[in-house]
Amino acid sequence: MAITDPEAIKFVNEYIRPMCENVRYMGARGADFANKWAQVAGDFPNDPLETVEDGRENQGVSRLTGADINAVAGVFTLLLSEISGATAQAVISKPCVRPLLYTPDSNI
Amino acid sequence: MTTYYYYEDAVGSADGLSEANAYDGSTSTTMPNGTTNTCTFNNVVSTLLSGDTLYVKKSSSPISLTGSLVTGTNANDGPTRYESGGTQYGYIEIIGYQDTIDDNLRADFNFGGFTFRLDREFARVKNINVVGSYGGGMFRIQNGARIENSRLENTRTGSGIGYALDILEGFASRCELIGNYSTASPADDEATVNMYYDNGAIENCYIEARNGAHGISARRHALPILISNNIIVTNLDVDGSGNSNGNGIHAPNVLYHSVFTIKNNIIYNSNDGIAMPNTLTDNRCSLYVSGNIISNCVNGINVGDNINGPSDVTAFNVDDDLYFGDNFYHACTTSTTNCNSEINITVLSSDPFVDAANKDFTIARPSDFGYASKFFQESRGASGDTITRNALVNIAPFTTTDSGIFSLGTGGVGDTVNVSGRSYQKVSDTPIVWRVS
Repeated sequence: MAITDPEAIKFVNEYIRPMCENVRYMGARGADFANKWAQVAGDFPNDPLETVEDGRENQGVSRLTGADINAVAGVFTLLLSEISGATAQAVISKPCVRPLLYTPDSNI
Repeated sequence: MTTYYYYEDAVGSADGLSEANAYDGSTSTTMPNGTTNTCTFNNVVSTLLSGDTLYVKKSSSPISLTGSLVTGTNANDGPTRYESGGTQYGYIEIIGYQDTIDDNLRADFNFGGFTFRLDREFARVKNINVVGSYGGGMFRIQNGARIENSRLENTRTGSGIGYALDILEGFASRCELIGNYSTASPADDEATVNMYYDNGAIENCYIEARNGAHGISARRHALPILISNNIIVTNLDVDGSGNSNGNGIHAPNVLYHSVFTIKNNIIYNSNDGIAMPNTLTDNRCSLYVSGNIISNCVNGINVGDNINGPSDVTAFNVDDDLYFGDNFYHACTTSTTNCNSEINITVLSSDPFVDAANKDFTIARPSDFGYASKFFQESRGASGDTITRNALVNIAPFTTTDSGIFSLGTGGVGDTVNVSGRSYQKVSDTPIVWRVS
């Protein structure tokens, strides 16, 4: 039976399709992240005492450590493994309307 | 009514009266108004008399400003040049060139952190290529000033707004306007082009908001404005921040506008192609939104409730003068248009452009536009039988590089272009060969 409920159609067009485009973009950014992380991972010891000295505490911005960055990388990697497979990509791509303009690269 | 020359590589007397003796930017000499001063670009422009023309030749290094340059109004400025009792009247012109006068190639400028505000009536700037980083409007036109065939890029990414062009009662035509301002949530006034006053017009321009800002912000005008025949591209994510909320044309307080016309534009990759969010209670508008091609946007046209409200509900106080129609939509994620009164909506099922992702907005198949081809003016090649780029939207059928030189690496076989009054046709891709036609 066809789904004709206007609320359902609204949900598809205002939520599912845009969100799939966002997730697809995130997947592409994930590939970009992997390229870059492979180059800079060595700069971040997995150590909570190794702080990133970006001088931004006076802006109210959190001070990060090598362990924080490694933890983020771990979450990214886990998340990306879920959305980067061919099956998941196909699922996510189908509702997308617009072509993806973003292209991952290796530049830091 | 004197013609002056500015060329920073000149080695002559620097009296400014010929290319050989052009103002060189550093010599102390007689200014156009008779005073003596160092002939910097600022000083020369500031002392031009009504009716004067200043030709600016591209020099080996970009011309810089010595400070923000604001030209005030002048009682003698006007549309007609004449002299009365030795007093000059008329408009001033500042025209760039590279080799010969009127070759229509651009002179390079680097404004640094300064602004150039051209506020003289009927003043005209043509053929300049500017890079700068000013927090507000890097280049402003006011009081009827005009800018043509120029490229303005504001490289500022934050701390300010970063308009490439600020139109406060002026006219921009055939310009490339680039903004780099980076934002995830663009405010009403964060855009590559700002139109916030009266009687502004922009047409035949390429407008690019790279990192999440709006393409054009058009706010609260009491008098008419026109946005026509432009290509507006947003959210290219050049800085990799993932910002994607820029609208092509962002027009809050739209009901305050009087005769607001948006026609025949290409709007690409925006959050809302045209956004007209809820507004003030003023109702003085006429809105004409027609003939636009809106592609690759989340929402094509997104209007506030008070543009759709029934006329007998006082909270929605628009009851006439809304003309939305004959727009084209392609690949809009959520909706094409939510304007209830829009008519003749065409939804294209295939990409109307040859390669929009690489900024080639050539209409791939004019037949896609069906009945509209009867209404749109087609621009054709010199032979009269070749449909050129953007055939249905009369954007210039050629590309230019950053320094304003026609790029022979673009275009397809058979394309015909006009450069500096000469016509060329591409006859081969490999090797690239163009011939004079």
